Amino acid sequence: MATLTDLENAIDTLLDHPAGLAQYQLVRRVEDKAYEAYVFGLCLRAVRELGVVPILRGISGAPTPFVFRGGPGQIHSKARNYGYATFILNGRKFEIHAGVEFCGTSNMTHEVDVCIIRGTEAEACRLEPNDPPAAGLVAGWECKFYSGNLDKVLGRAFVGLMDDMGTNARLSGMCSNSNHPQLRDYFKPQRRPYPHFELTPLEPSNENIFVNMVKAQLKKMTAT
Amino acid sequence: MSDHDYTAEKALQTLLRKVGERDEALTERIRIAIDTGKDINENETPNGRKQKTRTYRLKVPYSHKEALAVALKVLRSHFIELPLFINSASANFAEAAVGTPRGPQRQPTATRQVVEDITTMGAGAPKRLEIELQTETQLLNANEDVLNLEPVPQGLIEAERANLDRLEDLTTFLGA
Repeated sequence: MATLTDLENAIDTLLDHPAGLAQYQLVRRVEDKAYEAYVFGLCLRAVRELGVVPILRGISGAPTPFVFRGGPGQIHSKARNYGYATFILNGRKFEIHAGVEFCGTSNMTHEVDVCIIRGTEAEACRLEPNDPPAAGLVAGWECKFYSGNLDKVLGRAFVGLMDDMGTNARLSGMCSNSNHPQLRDYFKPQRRPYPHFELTPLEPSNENIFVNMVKAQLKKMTAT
Repeated sequence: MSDHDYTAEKALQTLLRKVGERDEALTERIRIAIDTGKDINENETPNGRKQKTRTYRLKVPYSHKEALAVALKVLRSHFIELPLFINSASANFAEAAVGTPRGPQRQPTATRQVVEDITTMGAGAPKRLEIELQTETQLLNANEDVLNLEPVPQGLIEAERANLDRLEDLTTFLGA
């Protein structure tokens, strides 16, 4: 029979393990951003699986290290050597960014957590500093690390954001390690973001769905 | 006969107390997740013979057993998933190449396209990933500038996963 002492010892072992509280306390300030980095990485994987090696770039030079924005920022900002990735598929240039602000169709600016943008638009906005237009967005994802159930308000806000991004975006989705059954239903109507819920390395099949959707859209867009 | 000499309620109290002694913020996250409660479908018993049974959504608190499972899910997210996100990002970034401009570049103009001259290398090599702590619009100085996303050895994650599985066994109560 398990005793209370057994339980207390098991809790101590869990918390005191090097991958327990110590690791958690180190990265908890950036857990949402770490999740964005994970989704960015899945985009890189999708590009690689299309037979192209993505290239990591920095706004002011080689991205060593590769710096993720800590908050919403502008694509042309040189406050740090912010990182992004570029790739060319069938002669068409694309870029992957994290935390970049776009100018919506209403002229209101919106931060997209992870996005794929047309390369020409991105270059133009770096050359003549400006926020990328909604029309430049190819794919955009909201990324939320949640240890409990997702908050409904996040889903509603993202639907509103994508609505203001016009109709050029081929792909949009809400990515989270968590789930929300009602939000899943809320995202069902056509043109609403895809619910990439339980998108985590613990669910490889969900990772494959994400990667395959990115690959399929990029292939469709660049088909000659 | 019970497999435990403690109740689910006692187990939950013990878990919250133990976590709270070390990290109050994490306890708060567990509490928030538990206090969200859950939706159930409740049946309304008909009063008369002609009335049909009606089902409606009812928000109720978790039972202590369910709350324990929720608490463990929170711990799993922070102790297992978070390091896995970092490791997955590190692995996918490692496979990408690094592009470095080859000397000063000619700037493209509205009428002139310029093919950027860059060297690419480093595909397959680990990349250092950093997250900005002091954001560009932050007026007051943060204590640290950036945080390095250091991969966590897989063996450590597996050992912690075994610790969590052991705790799950100790907090799973059979029966109603």
